[in-house]
Amino acid sequence: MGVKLAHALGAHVVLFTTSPGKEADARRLGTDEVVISKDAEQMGRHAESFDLIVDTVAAQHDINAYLGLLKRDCTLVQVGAPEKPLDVNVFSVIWRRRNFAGSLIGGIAETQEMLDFCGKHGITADIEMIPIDQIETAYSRMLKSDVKYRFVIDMASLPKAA
Amino acid sequence: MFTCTGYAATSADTRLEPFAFERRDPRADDVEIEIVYCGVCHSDLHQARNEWRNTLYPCVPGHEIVGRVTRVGAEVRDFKPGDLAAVGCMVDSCRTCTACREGLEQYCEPGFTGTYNGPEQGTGANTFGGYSSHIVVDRHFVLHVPEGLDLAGVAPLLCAGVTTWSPHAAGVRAPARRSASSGWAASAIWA
Ligand SMILES: [Zn+2]
Ligand SMILES: [Zn+2]
Repeated sequence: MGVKLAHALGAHVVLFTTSPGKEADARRLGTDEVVISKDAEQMGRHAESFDLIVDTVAAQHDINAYLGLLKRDCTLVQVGAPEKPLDVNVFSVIWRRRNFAGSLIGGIAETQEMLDFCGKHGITADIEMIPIDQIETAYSRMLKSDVKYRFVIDMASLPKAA
Repeated sequence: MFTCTGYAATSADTRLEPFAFERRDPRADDVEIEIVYCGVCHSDLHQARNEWRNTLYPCVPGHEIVGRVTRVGAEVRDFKPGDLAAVGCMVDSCRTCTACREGLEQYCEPGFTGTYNGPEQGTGANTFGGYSSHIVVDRHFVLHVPEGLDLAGVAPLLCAGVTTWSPHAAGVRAPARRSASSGWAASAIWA
């Protein structure tokens, strides 16, 4: 979702991923560049170049590798929530006065603004529709990361009387 | 009160199953929505399985809700039956704290009311989310859905979408962005 929205907002969008398989899809969604985060040489090419990094990763990862990609005074916003604390090397933020921030969903007015923006730009999420009796299967697949797009339940599949 | 059908978890280790429950009839400021689609968020799974150790059971997850308005309360002017409508992660907040007055209900100081798992303002009661036939929500927390979009694809905008929108929109407005010499670059990181 982030890629589509950032692209429509006029950003040059760079996607960091551990899996090369995501590249074609990422480009279709509006990504300008795809970087394989395990490749130090590729990461190095982007040092001190970003105004904003939105980190959606909920797994443990090296945050300092990303903080170093920000320009002076710019911000990495964490929206994914890893279970254990992340190790921040304070020199990553002292050097270049960078910000390591968090963000939670959005306010109501802001949500409306986003929906109106999506209406104007024809933006919706790519989804996989499921009937509600497949919800447990969907959960299992989410746990295995076996999901390309967001699951959406078709409520017409709800039994009329429970 | 009226009866809704839905899907609920009754404990951390039971599968979600069909579940009938009561919702309030629309009060003066309420909008009743017949739910057409509901997105599935990772939080739904965390909450249903009590991974945050705070789940109120029965748990009806779902906070990426889109549907059609079926009834509105006497004071509601901006929604009418038949309108498209959406509900995201919040259904209420204190409305009086600094955050709420600034339109930042997600940072409500006493805490907002989640679309599921409550706590309802004042009573602390549970709330039931979007894996259900209908939902009744105060109009302040109901969103208008632009016509012409693929409705199923709108659902994930209500949580996943706004979560990534908010940092970008704040970034667009921040003075630092305007002074950035080479425009601005954003990156979304995926695992
Ligand atoms: Zn969510
Ligand atoms: Zn408040």
